[in-house]
Amino acid sequence: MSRLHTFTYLFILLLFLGAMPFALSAQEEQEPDGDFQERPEEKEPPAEGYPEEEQFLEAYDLGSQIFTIDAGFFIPLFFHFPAASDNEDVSTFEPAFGQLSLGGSGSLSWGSYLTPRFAIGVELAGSFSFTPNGYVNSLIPITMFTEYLFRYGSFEFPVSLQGGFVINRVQDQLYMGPIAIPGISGYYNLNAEWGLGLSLDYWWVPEIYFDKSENSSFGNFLELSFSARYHFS
Amino acid sequence: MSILKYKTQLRRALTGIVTLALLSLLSIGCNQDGVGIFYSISQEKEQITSKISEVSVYQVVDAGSYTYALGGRTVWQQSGNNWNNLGGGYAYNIVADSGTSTLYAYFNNDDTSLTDGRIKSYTGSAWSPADSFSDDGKLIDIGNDTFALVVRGSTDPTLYITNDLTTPPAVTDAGNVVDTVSIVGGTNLGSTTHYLISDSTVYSWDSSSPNTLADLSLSNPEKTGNFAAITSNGIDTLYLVTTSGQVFSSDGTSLVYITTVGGSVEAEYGAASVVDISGPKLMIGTDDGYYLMELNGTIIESPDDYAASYPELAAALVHQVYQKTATDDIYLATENGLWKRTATGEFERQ
Repeated sequence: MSRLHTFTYLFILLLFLGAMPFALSAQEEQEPDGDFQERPEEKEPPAEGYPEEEQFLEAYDLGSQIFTIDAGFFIPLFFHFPAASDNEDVSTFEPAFGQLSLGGSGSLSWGSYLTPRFAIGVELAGSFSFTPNGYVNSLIPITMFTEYLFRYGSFEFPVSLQGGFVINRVQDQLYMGPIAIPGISGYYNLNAEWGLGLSLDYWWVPEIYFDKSENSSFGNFLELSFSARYHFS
Repeated sequence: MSILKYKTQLRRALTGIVTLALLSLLSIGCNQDGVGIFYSISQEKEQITSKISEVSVYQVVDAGSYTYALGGRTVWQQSGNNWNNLGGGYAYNIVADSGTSTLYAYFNNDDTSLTDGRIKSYTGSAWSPADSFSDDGKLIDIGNDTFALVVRGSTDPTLYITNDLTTPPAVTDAGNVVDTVSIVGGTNLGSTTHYLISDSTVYSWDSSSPNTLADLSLSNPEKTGNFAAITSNGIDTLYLVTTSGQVFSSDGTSLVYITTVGGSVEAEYGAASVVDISGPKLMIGTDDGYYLMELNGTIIESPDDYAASYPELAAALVHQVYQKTATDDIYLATENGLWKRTATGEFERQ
């Protein structure tokens, strides 16, 4: 029996010693140095009972800001020629992937929340891909965006729409025109500030000519990028 | 943040979005010079690259079973999809004698002051000297295996005409000097009658001295620029092109204005030729690509038609138009390399 008692005392002592650091640490966080804090009184549960759904504070609100950096792949899809019937050289839909290589893209954006789920901001992006003879086709959009945020635990899924103008260039040709970019992203928030994820954006690039409308076209591209997002206030 | 600040921030944001949208609309169509970026990309054709794809090519000729090109002051021999440098010095002109399957080139080993001119022949293995001069010179094929040699030095230009470049020093024989005019091009009608042009004059030549066709009257509009190229249908009609792009036809007695092509035409290597593309057509090279037309001047192809597919061809100075013997292949020797037009109308950059 005495051996059993000895083992029991040792076990309790080990438990106590093992718990000490956590207890001290908790005290450091909760108590002012050198002061003794009385145990708070336990509150009685409300008469109507606790609510079935817990209420959480939203992570962002008016004034919350985001800074995002993207880098990834630029995938040419197709060119749409609405007046192809007036141009014997082209079909209504011409494949772009055979005429442009898999390219690269990148962007920097800043945004601010107006509500816990709705943000607006500006973005500067750029992409490049190569024509069959190695010429570079570059697109540099300067856009404003609106974004609606869906959240699920530590995951965030912003759905965005960008609009602005784009500088489109190949060889000695330069075109500045409008651009629209709908997109969706998925982020895993590592902590309150940083989130990492993937973005999928669809670039719709009108190239309108009034004097040679048969050559007017709409470029369609897909951007798949790795994305890092920083939250701050 | 107060509701007032919130509204102010929202108003600024909306103002920014509207401003950006207006800028986008205003910027539509800011590409008046091009044919359309996406249109160009959709039409671009991949071109093969060879050793002469990046040099300025001046001439192409056939001799025997080989095709030769003069590019970057070097003579090249075609070998499959590639071209081999034949060396020999700084070459300025090439001509081919179809009767002997021999290539002739005018070299000048003094590339600066052009005082070391030589004619050399090549039959498939090595260069052989044929004649030498101490001046700048130019060999011109004037049709039917007949060649004009203009030697330009410090004195008046000297014109030799011969149908035999194989026996040196035939062209230096004083008896072979036919005149002291500077010829820039020539062609033939039938087997014996040749026509030559200088900057401003058309000559006929039938084995004696060149005769000035003084009675070639110029109809309205007046001729502008100098004569740059002369070609013929080989039967009864000459076609003359001026440096300003005017195109005339002639039966040897008068000039008839046909049309004017855009751009200017170079006089050095023969930028105009009657080619066979489902019948005779006139192809003219300019400093902005080529024009293809019916013999009556109706334009069939102009640079705008192929600028999207072949932008470098459409923007190139075309030195020479040449149809390979007994084939549909037409070569365009340009400052942007050598281009072959196939029977389907596609171009293959060499």
